[in-house]
Amino acid sequence: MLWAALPLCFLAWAIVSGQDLGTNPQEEILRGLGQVSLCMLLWVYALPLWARWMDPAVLAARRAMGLWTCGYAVIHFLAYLQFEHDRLLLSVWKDIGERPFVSVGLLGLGLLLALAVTSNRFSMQRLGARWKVLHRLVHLIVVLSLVHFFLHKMGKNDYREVWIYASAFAAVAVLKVWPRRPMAWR
Amino acid sequence: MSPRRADRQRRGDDLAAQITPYALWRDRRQFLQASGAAAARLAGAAALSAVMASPSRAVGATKDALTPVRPLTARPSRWVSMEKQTRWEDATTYNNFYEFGTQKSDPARNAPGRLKMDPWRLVVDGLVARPQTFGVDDLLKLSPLEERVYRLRCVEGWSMVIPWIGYSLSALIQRVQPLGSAKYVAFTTLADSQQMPGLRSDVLDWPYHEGLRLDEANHALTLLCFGAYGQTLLAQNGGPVRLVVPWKYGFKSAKSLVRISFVENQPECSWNVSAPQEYGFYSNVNPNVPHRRWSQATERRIGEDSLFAPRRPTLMFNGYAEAVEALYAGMDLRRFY
Repeated sequence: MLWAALPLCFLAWAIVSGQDLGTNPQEEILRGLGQVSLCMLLWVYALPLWARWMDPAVLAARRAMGLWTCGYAVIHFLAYLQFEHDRLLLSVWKDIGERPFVSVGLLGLGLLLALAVTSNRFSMQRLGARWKVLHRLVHLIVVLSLVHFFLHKMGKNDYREVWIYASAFAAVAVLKVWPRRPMAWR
Repeated sequence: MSPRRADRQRRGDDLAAQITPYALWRDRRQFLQASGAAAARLAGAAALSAVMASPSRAVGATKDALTPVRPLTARPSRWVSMEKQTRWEDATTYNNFYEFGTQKSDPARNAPGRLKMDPWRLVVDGLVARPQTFGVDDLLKLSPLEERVYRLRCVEGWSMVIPWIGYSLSALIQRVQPLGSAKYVAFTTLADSQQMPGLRSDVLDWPYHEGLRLDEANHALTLLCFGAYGQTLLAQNGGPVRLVVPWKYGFKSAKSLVRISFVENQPECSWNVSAPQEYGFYSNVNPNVPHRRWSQATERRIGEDSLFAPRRPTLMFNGYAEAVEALYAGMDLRRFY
């Protein structure tokens, strides 16, 4: 699971050592973190397929991967807070009214956090059957992330990257649903 | 010479001596690469970028230029922002010129080797008494060239300070004599699929159109631009001739103009057509009119400030309010955005 830390290490090293991050580094960092979060989310989402067809053992990494995804999403949010609002939490409120794609992103982040804090044995015991229902929200989270990305790209009519991610999601979603087979890992 | 005057002279000389010769400053990238330091930096950035998003900096802003760049002499003008000018390197490698690709680094990568800026024809027609076609040399002789240091504010929330070279569009307008029925001016950018790979994408309806009201076009600030940083415009900056309207969002400053038409009705503008609720005909820089994707209340000045420095407040009309607000007296700028 350590490879999941690589993007973060690169970013930290780049910032600390004063690397050339481009003409608009704040933009690069924010977008980059978003892309990494989205990639990881899709990877976690597709993990059951990998387990079904390749190696069931990968499912053991599912929790860690999910937590890493949530971690990157949180850092993406912190980067947004820093680079777009200069750490002023109050001005995020204005964005919710004025920039719908931010609202969608915040909702997705909130749901992701809910899943992250309940990713432990204690929560599974306390919530019982409701835990499974709660964690089905991952489908919604992926959709919200794609909508968040789409609404952002709408400003420049540039949907190529969105289509790539959306196609990947659609393919995984379809394959997960059909054919249905009971999973024997829990 | 008195000691004090000698002192001042020495300080002035010191300051003058500190100014890097332009050629060395412009070519410092090559200089740094030769010494190997930049190679290591680029490798680091490339590695990071491979993991994260695509880099915005393209190497070699002037490599393989189809039309070589030449120096342009211009007299100073009264329109000179005293803010720090954006580095030439940034202004020529971070561009929105979708005809050459949608990434910021695409124009610098694709335009110089593809855009043929010589010969060039600018057709001026429509409701004018003297329609004519100009070559770039004709245009350069039309009026004395001035250097104007303008702020440029992109709708995406970043800005630059660029020393443009040109003259007021009004000089050209006077030459062609618009008729009384002319109320607007429409601008068209080159759209040649042979030269512009970005035309394959349907991001916008090509060719790129822009437009101004006649009084906006006649305003002294509206610049018919032929150069920047002491030389003719690079392909990625919209050479050989472009428009610069500093109090509006950057996309109104159409690049690589091939046609200027005087018309009676409000002309179609490409971004306005693609998303009318977001991109208005006027698109005046206005921190009070929010945008669905980028905050217009603040901006990031490219190349300035450290990574964690705060954003700057965006000024009404990009700081040119005193000069242009009369054009919009009595207009509801939230309605006519």
